[in-house]
Amino acid sequence: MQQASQATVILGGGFAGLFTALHLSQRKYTHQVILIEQRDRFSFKPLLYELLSGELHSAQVYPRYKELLASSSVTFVQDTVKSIDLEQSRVTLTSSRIFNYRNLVLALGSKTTYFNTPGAAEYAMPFTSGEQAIALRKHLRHRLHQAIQTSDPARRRLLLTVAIIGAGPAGIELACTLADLLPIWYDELGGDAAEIRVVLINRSKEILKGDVNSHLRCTAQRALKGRIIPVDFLFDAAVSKIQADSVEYQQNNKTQILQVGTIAWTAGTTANPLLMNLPVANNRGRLLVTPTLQLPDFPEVFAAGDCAADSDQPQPPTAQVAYQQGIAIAQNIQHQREGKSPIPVEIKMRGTLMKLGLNEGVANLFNKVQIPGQPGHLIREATYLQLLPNAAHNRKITTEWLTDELFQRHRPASYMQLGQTPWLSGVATLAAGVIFATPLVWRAAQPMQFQQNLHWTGVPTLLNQLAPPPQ
Amino acid sequence: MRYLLNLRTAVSVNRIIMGLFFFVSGIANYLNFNVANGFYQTVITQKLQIIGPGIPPGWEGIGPLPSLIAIPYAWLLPLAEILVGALFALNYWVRWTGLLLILMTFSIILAFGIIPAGTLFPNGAESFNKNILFMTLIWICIAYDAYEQKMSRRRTEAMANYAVNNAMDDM
Ligand SMILES: Cc1cc2nc3c(=O)[nH]c(=O)nc-3n(C[C@H](O)[C@H](O)[C@H](O)COP(=O)(O)OP(=O)(O)OC[C@H]3O[C@@H](n4cnc5c(N)ncnc54)[C@H](O)[C@@H]3O)c2cc1C
Repeated sequence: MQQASQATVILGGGFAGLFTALHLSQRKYTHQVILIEQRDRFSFKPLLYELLSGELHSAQVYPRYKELLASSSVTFVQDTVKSIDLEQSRVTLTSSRIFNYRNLVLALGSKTTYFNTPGAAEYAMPFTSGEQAIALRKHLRHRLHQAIQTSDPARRRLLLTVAIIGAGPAGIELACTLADLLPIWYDELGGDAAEIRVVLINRSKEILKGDVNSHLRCTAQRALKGRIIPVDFLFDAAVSKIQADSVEYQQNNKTQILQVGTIAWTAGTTANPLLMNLPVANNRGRLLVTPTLQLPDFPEVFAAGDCAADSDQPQPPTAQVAYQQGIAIAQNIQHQREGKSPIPVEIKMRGTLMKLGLNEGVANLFNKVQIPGQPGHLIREATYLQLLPNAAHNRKITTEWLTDELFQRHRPASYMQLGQTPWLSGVATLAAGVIFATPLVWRAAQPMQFQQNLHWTGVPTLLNQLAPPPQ
Repeated sequence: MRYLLNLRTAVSVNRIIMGLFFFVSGIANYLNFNVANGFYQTVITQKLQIIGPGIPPGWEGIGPLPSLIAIPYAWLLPLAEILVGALFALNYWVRWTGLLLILMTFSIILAFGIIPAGTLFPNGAESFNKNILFMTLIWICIAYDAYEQKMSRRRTEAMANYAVNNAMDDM
């Protein structure tokens, strides 16, 4: 099928691709915009832990593209890209459909890599999309149910052990979430929560090595140990083989085996293989782009997000960067069509945010101030919910989330179970108390003035009835 | 009967009553702040009694507190009673608010003594400072709060829930 060659084709509906599409539509861009994406739903990756735990539901963090794009002029095509021909300005899909373009946006993200570890692709569960988060939830629930039914202690121990491979931000956030969540789930089934074991396996001795969050190392380490069930560390351990219920690793030149019921893999990502074959420069698979996010030899092609890198101003592969790049590309494509020159993109890093358990997080604002605990959690969720694409969707979800926080609906675990206090309600009570006490303090300090100024309200008379003022 | 014999209910009722008591005394202390022998005067002029008035001779107490401590204490104690009492009753930060309440109660015991009016044996006059009981009751609430996390809430319907949840799952 031959499409109009005036079209702007966007490959990949992640943060970079989706934001480009939505912003082109918002800018009343007059040419056709086609978004090609293999999945039918958008995964809001930073909030996948909340999807796993049930703190947020699918409609909130794993919405359908159809709904997100309903009020826009974007054409959504659910299909997988098979090849890209930059010379001919053409994209071929697995269904053999062909799209010609005038502008192309490459936003295909990255892909999980298992570093050729035997058995990893078969038995380890990745955690990069809504679908995978839901699969992991089902698997964990199933394991807990098997555990409660078995009377063999060794088997139960295996079923209740979860290995998380990779201590980058995703591994740490997942470990913290599970170490709070699994004891509560198992406890509800009538099991002994103390039998749960969450093991974080890492190749190096350090967690968060080389990551933008590396300065949060101490906070993260403390949080991992402070969960309902403290997370066990297995560091300096290179995973060499994975089987259905065991992880084999090398530590201190010795081969050891850990029996586990669940294996989650967060250890590595690699570039999208489609992009490796393009006749353009790349840095370990990330396409090298100009500061305006264009490919140097193909100015009509833009690239952003995890699959692109500007060698002068390298940015970390994060959602925070990807969505800002998406917005900038929308602007530059429009400029290009209007005959203006594209503008170099300026990424504003607002600091980093991490989930460190149910209802606990850390917000590292502008890389200067660290706000841990429940306030950190609230800042993190509010920030991410603010980023949800599409304003109408966003407003609805934020309102839902706010009411959830206030009235504690949809909670996978009560504050009581976590031994915590709902921060917002606590502070609201405190504020109400201060407001309530103010007239009383006023009356005690300046009885005459209080009497005169507030006489019209009837409050002084009421209080005098309760306790007569000194004569 | 199930509710009456439920430990959580008993501790919750106890906690709410304790919190409410402090909340109301905070209000009362402000209302009767300036009256003769009212709250302010008591704090400014009262000696610390430790054991109690009269017994044994020579232990009548020390003080009164220097005004540098007594004045802020007098103004802030009722406010603290209102705020901390409300938080404690509503189950917010029970460990910390409980600890504060215990400290506040302890300061009151220091002021009025362990045996405020009569002898140690009940004799018509107030014989034993009830604040001591308050401290132990608050302690129970704090300890229960810590214990709550670890308690096993064995829910027989959990298996049924699982089946329902699974059927209603997102995908
Ligand atoms: C668990 C997890 C937690 C994270 N937490 C944070 C966080 O807290 N903060 C933060 O800033 N970042 C976070 N990130 C990183 C962030 O999500 C990514 O940097 C961001 O998603 C990159 O956006 P992107 O658009 O480049 O790629 P992606 O979001 O990966 O989107 C790429 C899209 O392309 C599609 N695609 C791929 N190949 C094809 C094909 N051949 N045909 C059609 N479609 C295709 C994919 O389906 C996907 O939808 C997290 C990532 C993960 C996995």
